[in-house]
Amino acid sequence: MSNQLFHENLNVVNAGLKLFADTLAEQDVPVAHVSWRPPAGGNKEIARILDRYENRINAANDKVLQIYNDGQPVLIGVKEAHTVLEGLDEKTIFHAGPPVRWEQMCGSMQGAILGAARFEGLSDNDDQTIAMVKNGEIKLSPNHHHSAVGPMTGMITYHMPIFVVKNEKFGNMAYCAINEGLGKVLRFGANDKEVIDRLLWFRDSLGPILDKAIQASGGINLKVIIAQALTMGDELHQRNIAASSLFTRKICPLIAALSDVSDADKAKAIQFICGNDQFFLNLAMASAKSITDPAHGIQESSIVTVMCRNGTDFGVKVAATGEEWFVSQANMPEGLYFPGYGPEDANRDMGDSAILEVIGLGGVAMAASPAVVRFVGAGSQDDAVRYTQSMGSISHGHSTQFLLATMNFDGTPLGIDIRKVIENDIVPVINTGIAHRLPGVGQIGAGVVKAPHACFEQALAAFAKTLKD
Amino acid sequence: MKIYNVIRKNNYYDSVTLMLISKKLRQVVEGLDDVSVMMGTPANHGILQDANLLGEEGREAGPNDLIMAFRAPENVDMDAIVKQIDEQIAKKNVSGQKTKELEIRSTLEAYKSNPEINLALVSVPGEYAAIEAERALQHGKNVFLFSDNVSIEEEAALKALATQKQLLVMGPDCGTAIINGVGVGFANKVCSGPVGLISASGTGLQEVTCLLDGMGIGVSQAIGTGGRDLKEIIGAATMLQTLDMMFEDEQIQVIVLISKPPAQSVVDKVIAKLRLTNKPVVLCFIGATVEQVPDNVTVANGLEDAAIKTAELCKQKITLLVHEKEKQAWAQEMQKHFASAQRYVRALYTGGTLCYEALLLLGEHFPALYSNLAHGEYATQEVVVQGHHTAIDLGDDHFTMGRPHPMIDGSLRDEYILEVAKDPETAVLLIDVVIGYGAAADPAGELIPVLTEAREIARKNGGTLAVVAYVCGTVLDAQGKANQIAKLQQAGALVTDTNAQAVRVARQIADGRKQ
Repeated sequence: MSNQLFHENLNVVNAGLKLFADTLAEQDVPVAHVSWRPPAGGNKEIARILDRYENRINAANDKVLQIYNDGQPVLIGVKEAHTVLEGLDEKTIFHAGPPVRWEQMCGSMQGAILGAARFEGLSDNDDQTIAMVKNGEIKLSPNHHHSAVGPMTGMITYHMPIFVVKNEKFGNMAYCAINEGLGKVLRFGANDKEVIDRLLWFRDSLGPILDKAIQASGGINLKVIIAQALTMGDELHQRNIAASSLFTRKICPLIAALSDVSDADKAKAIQFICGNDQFFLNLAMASAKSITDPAHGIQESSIVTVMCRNGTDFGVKVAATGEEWFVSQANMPEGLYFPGYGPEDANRDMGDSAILEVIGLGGVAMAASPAVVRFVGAGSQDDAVRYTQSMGSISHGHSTQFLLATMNFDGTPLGIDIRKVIENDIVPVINTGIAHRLPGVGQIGAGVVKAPHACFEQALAAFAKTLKD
Repeated sequence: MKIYNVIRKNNYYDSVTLMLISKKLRQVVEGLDDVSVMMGTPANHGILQDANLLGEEGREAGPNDLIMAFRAPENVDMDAIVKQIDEQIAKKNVSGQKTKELEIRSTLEAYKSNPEINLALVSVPGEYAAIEAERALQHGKNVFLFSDNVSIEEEAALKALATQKQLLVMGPDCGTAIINGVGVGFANKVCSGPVGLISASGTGLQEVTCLLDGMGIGVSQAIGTGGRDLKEIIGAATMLQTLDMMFEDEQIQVIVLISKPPAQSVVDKVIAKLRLTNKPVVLCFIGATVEQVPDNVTVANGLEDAAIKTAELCKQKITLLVHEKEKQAWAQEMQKHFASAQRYVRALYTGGTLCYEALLLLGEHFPALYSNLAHGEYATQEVVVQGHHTAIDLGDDHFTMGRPHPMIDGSLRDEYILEVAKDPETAVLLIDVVIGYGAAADPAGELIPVLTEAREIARKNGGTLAVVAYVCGTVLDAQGKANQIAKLQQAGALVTDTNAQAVRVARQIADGRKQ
């Protein structure tokens, strides 16, 4: 067909001098002025490669989006970690984020490692634990190497009871420990007797009770709960009160009906679950992990499959580059602090929970949760929507099931595309709790944190190299 | 220090609200060691305890009770503090900012979000311009490529892709187009009518469209191709594509082609294409004639001539040169006032093709004419060359490095005008004033003081400065052509009806100063 430009109304995109957009607007011509920045962060060679393969990358990204949208996470049990996790022996500790050595760890992570060793009885004292970690006798491994995730320090050890979530569409499993509640908890690096006793109770009582209840249920679909909670004001990362309540409605009657558990144990379990607004967080995380894992290794896809932090570094994985880590220093969170604490006490961003942003929740779904947007100093629903829109500009598409009531039931942005992160110079925003930089203190606030730009740059360069005719 | 706890029973606020208020309280309430407001949940009891803010009353507070906790000296006015806390709680509903339009940061984002886009206007730095242009083409958009510093190989590749996709690439280094009556880039507001123009030169296109408008002849489309479109390696790709579009377009009855003289092989290609239409065509290869053209083709030798030939084809009265005699008389009159050393024309142009036209017309009489548009012996970047005429294009890279183009900001030219005026050999200052979309808001107004000063300098040197100016624009332009002319006249300039006429007047004066 020949060029019809002379018979169409002009509709212009303007990249460069604003003056030209202004003169068109003066003439009532629709014009979109691009706040332009160099493509691919200014790397022309990469820009050309990405443009050349654009259609194929988009097709691969469609595939990953489909995988994310098709995922059906179902909670099928709570098991002691060693019975379900490969690569976990008695002297191995799984942790959040990309790989990290003892010397590089922040205080909270070190505190958690010491606590984990106490819980498992791996050493006589902390000094011995440190020596064993340093000489490799106690092995450390990232959760993400084992289809597992954990909030904050993200500890998983041999005897810990963990949620087992099955993605029924693809058959893969994902795992996450049980949320310990607020206050002094292992995930924030606390490790005193109160912490260890709670974990022992998890192992001996809460875990088995939850497992029995789940077996009685025949499996609980978590995606449905997440979708419902989104319309009830949760974004499933910083705020899980609706999801936790919905889950409670399912699990408590099942616990109550168990025949071989004492009333006292049932009551304690139910009390604990009901008393923890963030109980569902760990279930949402295991869901997200089960949804994203099938996308690892999808060739030519530039969509993020993992974002996580270990309190020192931030790590990213991308579908096409499979298991390769792209790592740079984690940022400091910004937010609000509990009484007595301030930014000077805060630790760098930490935890595997950014897996939620990978599936379009948390900071990406800010519009669902105006209560949370106030942590960043903004105050309105408009601001919350703006966050989500800006995440939309770095995402490949939208969720078909996670709908935003406040955005005319648009799906949450889904599939963070590293090309767009760099091109738009917009990094993912992650909603997070703030940990104290010293071990054992715990959570001191909550807020948001930006993923660091550098690891996306590295990822883009490595991704471009995978593209071949 | 003492711990104070004040309880408000069954007064629920969510934790974020209370954290925000606590933060604010720490900033605004004076005389306190620490302060916090929290609901009395067991977890919060622990937090307040750790912060040394939990008192007896607080311990009794339940999950639905608000605890106002602060630590202060014994003698503090507790009621006043509680009042301030209450005020802050009452103010909790700080309204946020209304959503602004979300900034678009990538053209890809724009293409995705709006499929109606049919033109990409690209003026990004040259090294990225080809990437952006190719993106636009791949997404099915026509391209107006203002950026320069795009290699000719890149241009050839872009235009090959555009031809294959039936899309136009106007540029690189394209400054002007009028598409469906809309001025794109630097263009003038003209009336609509039967003429379609294709031009490899920006100000050349502006000049002809303005001259036509001045004679009441309207323009349907005016397409810039970029200055290198008629180079052999590009092969007039954009011009040939646009010709096809104009052949088909029923509104266009006369076609005008403008370019610097191209290679013969490209001339042949264009002529071959023109044989495919019955529409009359005016062919203007500025300063060059073309032999053996088909019957429907009229050759014009310059921009002014192109406008006149087009008017003839449109059966319109030619009104361009009715004032020629008056202008000649003015030039004659000026001769009486020069000091003896005053001999030369110094042309300071903002429009590239207008300067090129001056170079050709002056060059007919004065072969030793220095210019930054000249090559070889007479090439210069100096606005004054002793003992010679000069014609300088101030829109050239050499002058615009790190500064806005003089069409956008005329102040660039001011210092050169004074430099020219101070030279005792200068007789004529020849300038253009280009108005229209994208141009400065009142370029002639800004010239008044500097022209006045320049003429004063010449007078003090015992002579006079003949200022010859041309306003490239139309009465429809926002700056107003008549208004701009009046301002230049007020500054003592002779204002002509065409650029060529301005050059002829300057040339006439210089001829008279020959010895």
